[in-house]
Amino acid sequence: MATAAKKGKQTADLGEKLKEAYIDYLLEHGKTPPSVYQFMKMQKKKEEEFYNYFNSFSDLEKEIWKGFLDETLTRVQGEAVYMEYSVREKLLAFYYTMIEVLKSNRSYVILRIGEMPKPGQRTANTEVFSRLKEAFLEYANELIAEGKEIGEIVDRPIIGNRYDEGMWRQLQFVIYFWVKDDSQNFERTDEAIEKAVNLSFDIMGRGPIDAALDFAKFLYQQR
Amino acid sequence: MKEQNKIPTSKVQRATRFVRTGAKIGGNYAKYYAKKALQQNVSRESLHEDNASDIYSELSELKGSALKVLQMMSMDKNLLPTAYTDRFAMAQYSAPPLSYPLVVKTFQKYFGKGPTELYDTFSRSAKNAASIGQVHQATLDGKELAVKIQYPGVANSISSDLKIVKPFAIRLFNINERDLEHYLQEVEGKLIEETEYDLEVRRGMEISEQCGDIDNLDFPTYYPELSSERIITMDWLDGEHMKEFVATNPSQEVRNRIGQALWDFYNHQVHYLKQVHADPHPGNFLFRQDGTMGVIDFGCVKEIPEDFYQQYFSLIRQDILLKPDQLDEIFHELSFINENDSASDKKVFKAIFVEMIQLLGRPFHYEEFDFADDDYFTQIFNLSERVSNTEEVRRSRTARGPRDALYINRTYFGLYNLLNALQAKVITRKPEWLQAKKLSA
Repeated sequence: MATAAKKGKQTADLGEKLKEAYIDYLLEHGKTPPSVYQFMKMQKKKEEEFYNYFNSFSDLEKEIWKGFLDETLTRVQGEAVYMEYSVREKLLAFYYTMIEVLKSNRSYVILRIGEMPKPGQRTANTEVFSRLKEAFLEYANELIAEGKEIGEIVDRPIIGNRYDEGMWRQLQFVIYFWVKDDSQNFERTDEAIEKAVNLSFDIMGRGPIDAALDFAKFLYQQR
Repeated sequence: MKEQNKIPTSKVQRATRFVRTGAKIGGNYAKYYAKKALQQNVSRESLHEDNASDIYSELSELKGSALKVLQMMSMDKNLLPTAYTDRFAMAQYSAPPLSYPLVVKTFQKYFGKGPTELYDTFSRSAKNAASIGQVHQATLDGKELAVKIQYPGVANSISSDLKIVKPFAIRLFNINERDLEHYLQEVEGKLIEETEYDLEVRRGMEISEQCGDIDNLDFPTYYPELSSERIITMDWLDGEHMKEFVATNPSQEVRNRIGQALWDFYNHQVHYLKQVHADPHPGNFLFRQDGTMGVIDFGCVKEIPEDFYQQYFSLIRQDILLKPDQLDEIFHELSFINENDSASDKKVFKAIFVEMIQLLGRPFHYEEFDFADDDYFTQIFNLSERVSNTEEVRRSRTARGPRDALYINRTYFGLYNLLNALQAKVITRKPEWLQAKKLSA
């Protein structure tokens, strides 16, 4: 249940509490609270306090998903070793931690996963995942920039600026996989993450196709 | 498969290239046996050419436990050639290396702490590949440690891998399904045990304590408080693997001393502890120039049931082979021959088994045995070639021999091969009851 709340953030304490209470209500009743008024009454709070944090339930849910990502980043970047990681390892650490964060909210994730577009489908701005996506793309672009700088990721024409979108689909894939995973300790998800990240970095990194193109270019210039 | 040919770029990837090499070696053996088995099949059942190449190409893609099972099956059915030719280079699981973040995650899952918090130092990349995991080096309080971490999902994949292997095995070894089942159960049980690292720690501690008195042999200390289902912490042992060690051309005295330690180690386990380190794969031993050796990896331990032990080992007593009645009885009990065999089949099989046992038991028949004797190994090889080409054997669709024998045979073939690779001369110590009364003739 506890998301960022147990990390004891100083700000947005009530905001975090409201998120928790909302998830709690949703899971116990199987539906969203009938109104903000009723929901806040149950929290023994005034309705207007809700609007200090969120303007609607759907806004709140978007924040829940973004909150998962924020907590993941706080945890991942809090580890000293993270700074020494290669970009590939950073992304791996991110996914592993993300799954840990989601684990404490698995029921909620399963409830909402149906609304997530399948990997490959577009995410509309109205969806609960839209803010998660925004924040993730931002993070992905940081990683990509770093990767390009140190040469772990090769910039290529056309697909070169779609890498972030690819990583988002990978995140969708990972979450989907984990939701369906029935192996002990979700070990299969660990495997899936390793393989997916290795594949994507093998694709984004310098590979035989780059060498082939380079060679072709060289031959062409010799004429 | 093709993707793997890319040049590994990251540190993590580089660290574990040997895992892939290992898998490749295993794959080559599978290819070899597939080819061999299929050539027989082709002539015998005039198996369609395309069909054959289909199985062949599929088989070479097999990995992990499936490959291991096939190797063991081929060892048991043709008995010796596998053991002879592949020198026990066992299949490695072809899992790619664990990334460091996953290593950290695994530690956090079991200990609630990362590796750098548990140990003073911890190597970011793997130093070695174990059969189903990888080994990192660590230090704690001035001690050098080896930390083995298992690949995720190995345990889960075993049952499904074995299902894949079934149709191949039925084809390749011309064995009926019921008999196959009986082997697979034994093998599956053992493979699953291998993934239980906490069990391995317990057994390692047990056996190393009980074998502690054997000269020139040492074991790592295990640290149960730093071990779990998927992680083992033990002392880092120095030494070289068989191939590198032999390449340094150690003196005959050193070879003999190590060979003796190996023999004594197995002698003590099989005959006194009745449980044995049943994976004499060269990677599980470390050899040193001063004539000592270390044993690592207790993943595969076979417990030997008492009545099986009595029957099986009484076969290698030299004198017993001369008494046909007693021999018949034991052959029946161990189901080397069974009721359904025709009289002529019985005769053929009996002759084969007698010859095989004579040959296999030969080191036991002497006080001292020179395993450098390539002639002996050639005889083993020739016999098994002959056996697998014998009409009756190829026709027979029943598995012969008790399933306990599967691991005991494997253990002894492995031991003989190690000793042969060492070119060691060994005093073949054995329990008193096994020492045949000297033949008067």
